[in-house]
Amino acid sequence: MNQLLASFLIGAIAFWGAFQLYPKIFQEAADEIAVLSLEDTIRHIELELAEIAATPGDTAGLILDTVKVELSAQRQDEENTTAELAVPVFDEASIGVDTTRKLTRGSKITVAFKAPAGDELLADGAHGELDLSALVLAARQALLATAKDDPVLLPKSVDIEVHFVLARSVKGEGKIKAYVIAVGGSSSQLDTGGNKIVLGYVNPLFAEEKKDSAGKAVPPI
Amino acid sequence: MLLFGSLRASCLALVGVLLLIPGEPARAGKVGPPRLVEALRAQPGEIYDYVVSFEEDETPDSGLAGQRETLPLKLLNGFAMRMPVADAFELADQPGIRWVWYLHPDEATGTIRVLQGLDYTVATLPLPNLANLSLGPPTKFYRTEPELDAPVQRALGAAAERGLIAIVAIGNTGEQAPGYVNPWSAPPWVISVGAWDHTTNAVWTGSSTAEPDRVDAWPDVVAPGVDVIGPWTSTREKSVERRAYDEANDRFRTQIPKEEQDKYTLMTGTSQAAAVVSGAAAQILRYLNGFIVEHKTSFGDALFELEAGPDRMSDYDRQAPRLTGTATPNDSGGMTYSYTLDEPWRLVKQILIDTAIPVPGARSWQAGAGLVDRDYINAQFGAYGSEPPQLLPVKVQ
Repeated sequence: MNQLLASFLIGAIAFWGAFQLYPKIFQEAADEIAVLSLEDTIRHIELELAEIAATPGDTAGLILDTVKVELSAQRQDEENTTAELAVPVFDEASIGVDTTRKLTRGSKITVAFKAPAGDELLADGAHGELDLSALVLAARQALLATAKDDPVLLPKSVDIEVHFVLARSVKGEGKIKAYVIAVGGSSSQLDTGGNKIVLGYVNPLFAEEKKDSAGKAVPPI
Repeated sequence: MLLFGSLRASCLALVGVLLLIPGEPARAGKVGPPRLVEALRAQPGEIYDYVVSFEEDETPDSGLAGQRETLPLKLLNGFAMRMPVADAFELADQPGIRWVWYLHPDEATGTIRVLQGLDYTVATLPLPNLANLSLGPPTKFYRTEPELDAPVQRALGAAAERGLIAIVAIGNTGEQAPGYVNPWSAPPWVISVGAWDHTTNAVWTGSSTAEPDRVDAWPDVVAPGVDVIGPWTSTREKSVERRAYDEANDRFRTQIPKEEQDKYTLMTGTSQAAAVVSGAAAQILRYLNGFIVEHKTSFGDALFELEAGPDRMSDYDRQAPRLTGTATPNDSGGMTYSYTLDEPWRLVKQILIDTAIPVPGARSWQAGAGLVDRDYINAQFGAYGSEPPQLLPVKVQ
């Protein structure tokens, strides 16, 4: 029940944030197509995951099981031998980004994340742009805060979804940032123009209970 | 406490003679793992990754794989490949095939990379040597009982034959999955390491523990693994939470100058404990190398004796079979250990076990033989110099 409550809270935040940003995003066409190095992108995500895994604190027995990255690629540069993806990039102003905010925390990765509106509910002091690890840790903290209420339930699995869009800085820095538009939401309308990272956490005791939702044969384990 | 004596020296001895064959894992049919054979048969068309191993006297024939890509695996005398289940069963029936082992999609890539890494390590490092495996498969593949026939476990055995001593973290699932351990830590030919929590003077609650009746899956030793000071990458800043955690630690503030604190951090887990044990094992191995060269010792010759008082006796000493040497009760209520030149992994592992400090309040299924005392090891096995930590350019081609 507690887990459901946490999921509900995160979901509610996600939908509220998405509701605020959705019209602005999808009424605007992408301003340009940018090519991202898939290798660099994955490397950044790995660094963030390493940070999450190494951060001290109660994990409620949940261990990272799967990572899914969905990018809304527009075309693939077949002539380029490196693994790159072309993704839509919006202007910061078109998605309502407050550019007066300064980056006060986070790592030196190229991809930075901005918390959705209402991020105060996720973690104290989690204002401004956030890196992925801080965002996920905040969600974990919120989950744990509810999971410790009686009756205490053992979490079996949690999927943390981070929906984001890419935007180029209006200051002409030439830097592409990733702005979070929802955390925990799985609304289908977000899939049309956004990108998504899903971190699936499971308790090893219940890992075998995970079923393939697509109905494919489940690999024996 | 420790008495070294050259009991006999004979002939020429080189470090390389420290090789012998660990016990061959039990066969479990040609397609493995046996527990999944029926489930696999029910999915003849599904495509999975497999490790294919040929008999020792056979040259791996990639022609049997047809047009499919294969990745050679030297320690296992075979290769990895992807194919439908039905083809795997058919391949397993071919002459010269020793076994065909199925890999779940979530473990396949990591497993194959580790197998390639072991190949590379054995091919490039001077042996005998050490490998710190602070890693394992995803935790959903942790097991309650050793599965010694699995590819990594077999490859670790083959590596041990060649002189590579593997120190493996037992895992960090002690709280959420009691009884389950990293399967790569379970073979007798590796050194399984749990984590000790100096803040509570007990085994770290996150350290994976086997079932009390599974002696074969217990950790061999434990070592400090909580808030261990280690390097922090220079390519990224610490998070706010990490910085605060580090700076709140008295030991961190005391040992690391303020201007250096961005280069170090505190980390917790059996990986950190495995690193500590790797350092101790390296010191022991250095001593053995020096001793053997100096005394021109041959395989099977007596090496030295070790006197251990009753304060170093634990339940583990009475329950786990010895890997090498003899243990004789002495007048002080302790033991006199006598060692002869044997396989490197047997000697180093047994010395770590014999010199471990029993931990009060912890049972052997939690702490193995006890706490590895790096300072004690350095002092007692320092006659041939100290073993500095070093980073090796290990990579997989």
